[in-house]
Amino acid sequence: MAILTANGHGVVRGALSLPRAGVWHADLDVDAPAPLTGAVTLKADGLSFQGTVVRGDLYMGVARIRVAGGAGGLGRQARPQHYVHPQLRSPLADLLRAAGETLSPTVAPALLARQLTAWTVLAAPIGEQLSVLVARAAGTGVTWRVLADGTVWLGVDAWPDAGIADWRELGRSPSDGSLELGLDGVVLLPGTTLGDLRIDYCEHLLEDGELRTRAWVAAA
Amino acid sequence: MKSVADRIKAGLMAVARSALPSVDYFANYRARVVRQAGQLLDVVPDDPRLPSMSELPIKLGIPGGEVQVAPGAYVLVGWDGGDPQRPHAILWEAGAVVLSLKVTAAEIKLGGDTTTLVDGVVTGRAIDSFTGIPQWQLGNSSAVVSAKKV
Repeated sequence: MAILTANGHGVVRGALSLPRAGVWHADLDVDAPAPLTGAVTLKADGLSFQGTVVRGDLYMGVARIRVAGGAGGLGRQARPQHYVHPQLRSPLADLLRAAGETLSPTVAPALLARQLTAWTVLAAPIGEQLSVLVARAAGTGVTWRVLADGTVWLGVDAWPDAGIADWRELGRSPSDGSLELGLDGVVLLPGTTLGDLRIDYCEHLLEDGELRTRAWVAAA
Repeated sequence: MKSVADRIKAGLMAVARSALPSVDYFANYRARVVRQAGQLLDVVPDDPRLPSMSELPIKLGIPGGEVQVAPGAYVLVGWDGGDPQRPHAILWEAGAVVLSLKVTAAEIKLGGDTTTLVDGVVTGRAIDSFTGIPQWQLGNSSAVVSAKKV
């Protein structure tokens, strides 16, 4: 059984990259008889990722695809708009609507109700405008990312325990704060704590039926 | 045909561009005034990457000063510290029609210390440098100057 599947087809090789801030993405070779397009569900043991194929085709008998988390629309251009005394939810909702993305229902209502004096959305990539909104208007420590379920979340990370009992540290690179981990599947997510390590970014690499996980740890 | 060096340079420039925001909140953009309410302006920027903007506070450059301009004037719009929550309008372009200008200073000196007082008032005379005609005859000098009695 494949470690990871894409719309039910086994992933032969590839990488699933999960940042704590931004859009997760995957570059995968999928054992599929036809090109995969549109919405795609990546399934691993216990975890499911909702994304969209943003590029790809059949190559050497496999579907070689790039998947972006959610609707894959955060690279679109934002429509310029100016707001006077808006709540944060107004520019946020307009940006996500233009991107075809969905806001996570787990976002704190108080954050969405945050009162701004004004806001200007410029014609720039929506993801970039979303980053500016979060960085300049959402408050200290707030970040945003596309969750595994494909929705866009923003908030302050609570760093819950990753809930992984069985893991091994295979290597460590203090120069860039990364670890090579032995895990029993695609189970580690950013924004969680593994032991006493806060996971800032993780990359699950699949090759020849083997899984390797590299995790970057948030600076203390 | 591009040389290898040109292609490497183009690639490096593309990387550099991708690292920079495509529109910059730290820049100022030319915009036309379409409406004024108090010291707040509604404007339409020339650059289509910017939206029409409303209720922009005027940063006049004179402390306590207030100005009323006719629609059609051009200003620069920008954001304090690059913060999209703090837009402003600054620096009028020449040609703006000023309807009123209010300065709250306790003392305003016209003509500097060498101006002669005639009958207790400051008189001024300006010559149009192009025509040599006094400016009041050209109809472009102020008709009324109000001053608070002290």
